[in-house]
Amino acid sequence: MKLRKLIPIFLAGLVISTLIFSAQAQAWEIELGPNLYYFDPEDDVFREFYGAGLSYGLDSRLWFENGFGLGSEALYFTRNRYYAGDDFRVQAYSWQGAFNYSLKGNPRLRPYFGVGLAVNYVLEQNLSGKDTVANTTFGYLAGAGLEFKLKYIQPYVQITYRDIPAEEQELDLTGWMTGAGIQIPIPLKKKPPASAPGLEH
Amino acid sequence: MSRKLMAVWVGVVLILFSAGCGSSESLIPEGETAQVPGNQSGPVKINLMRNLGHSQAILAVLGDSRSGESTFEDIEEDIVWIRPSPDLVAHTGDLINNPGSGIEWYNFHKTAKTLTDNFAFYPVPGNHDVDDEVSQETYQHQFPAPVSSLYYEVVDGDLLLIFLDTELAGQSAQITGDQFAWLERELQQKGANFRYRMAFLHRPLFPTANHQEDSLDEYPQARDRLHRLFVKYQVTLVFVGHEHIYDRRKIDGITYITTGGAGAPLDNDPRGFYHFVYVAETDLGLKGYCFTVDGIKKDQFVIK
Repeated sequence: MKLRKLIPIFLAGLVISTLIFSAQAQAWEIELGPNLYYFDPEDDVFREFYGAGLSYGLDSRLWFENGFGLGSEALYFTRNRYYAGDDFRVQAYSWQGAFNYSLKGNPRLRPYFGVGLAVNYVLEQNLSGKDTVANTTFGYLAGAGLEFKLKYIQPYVQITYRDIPAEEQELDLTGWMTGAGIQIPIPLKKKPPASAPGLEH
Repeated sequence: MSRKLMAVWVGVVLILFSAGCGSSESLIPEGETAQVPGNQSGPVKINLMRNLGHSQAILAVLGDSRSGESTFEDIEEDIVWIRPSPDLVAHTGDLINNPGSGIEWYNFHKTAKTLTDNFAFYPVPGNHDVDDEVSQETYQHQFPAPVSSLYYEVVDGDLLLIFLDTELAGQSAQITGDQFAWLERELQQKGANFRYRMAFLHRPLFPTANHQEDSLDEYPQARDRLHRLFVKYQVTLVFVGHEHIYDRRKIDGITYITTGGAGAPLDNDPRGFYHFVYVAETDLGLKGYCFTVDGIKKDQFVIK
């Protein structure tokens, strides 16, 4: 399975993220949840052949008190196309990591923006039984979103633009991702109190 | 953060959302000078009316366009503009890059529309078009008969044009079995009825650049048998691709032309330049020209 090629990159990303998370023990919020995006490809040929469509996956975020945050998203996109007597399928497995910054102010809303990197493993298959194109591409992303801080969940809307340079023979995943997700806050470590009880005078 | 700042931020997010949702010995003469004016900013208008005299069948030949779309499109424009216009266009294979890819075939048809709308278009499969039975079947689905037959013959004026498949599943890099028997029969039964006989195939019999031992020379006995057949039935011209160069050479009286410069990355070779070949049947014989994508004549020949 050619997906194996992506696994080391994926794991490296997770390990790095975890290390950063651990180093920031003062972090006050970790979030995890599903997402659903509408991927609108910019490449004319991709758009005409496979078209735009839904992408879904998991999103995790870590927010620090100072407004900075780390984001990690795993996404899956697939579309089918019948063309000239054959059935084809494109599949894209993406991992996106981003550095985010949130604006403070309203306790119920968290507006944020971020920049990051994307790694994609893209596969085209002829459903008669052949992988025709398989390539790993790297790119950049920039996005912004708004999180609604409810009692138990934090739904959000987000828009991201991914610039993923592709060689002529590669499938081009450059385009807009617009969508929404739900984050479930997981309180791992709380900030220690400013002064220990019992020492106050 | 003030409420005003929050409102501005929400506005920016909404604007971004709306934007996202919308959206042997070479015969090439050295030092040949340009004889046809080229125009870098638009299609080249090549007029050979006076040079050709009275002409019958005319064809343009190109090969190895693959994913080099912009070069391929420029060559298409040249072929549309050249006068007299060709009756047909032959392609020596490698129309796409990844065998069997649906999106690449779609892109090929989109890009090649200029040619396929204006001319009869006859390709042969290349190793980037077909590498197994699945991709072979996909190739067959892309074209009507006779192209979908993989190997076939076409008659144009006094020319017998034979298109061969060097990528036949299970028989790549050789012309053998049923295909060889068919070829022999065609040449035997029909060859003598035509003034000129031409063959088109992707992999060269005698590679001279980057694809040595990856061409028909991989099976020397089958290659020599094919060459002897061409000699026996006096095949006038053999067009091949695979190597991304232009080359013309004569071996045992057969003129072999390599034309593999219609868009794929060029071989690091002085003969590597983007080009197409134009061949016209005239009273004086077969007249041939090689033009660069910019309309510069790089070679010309006459075969009587």
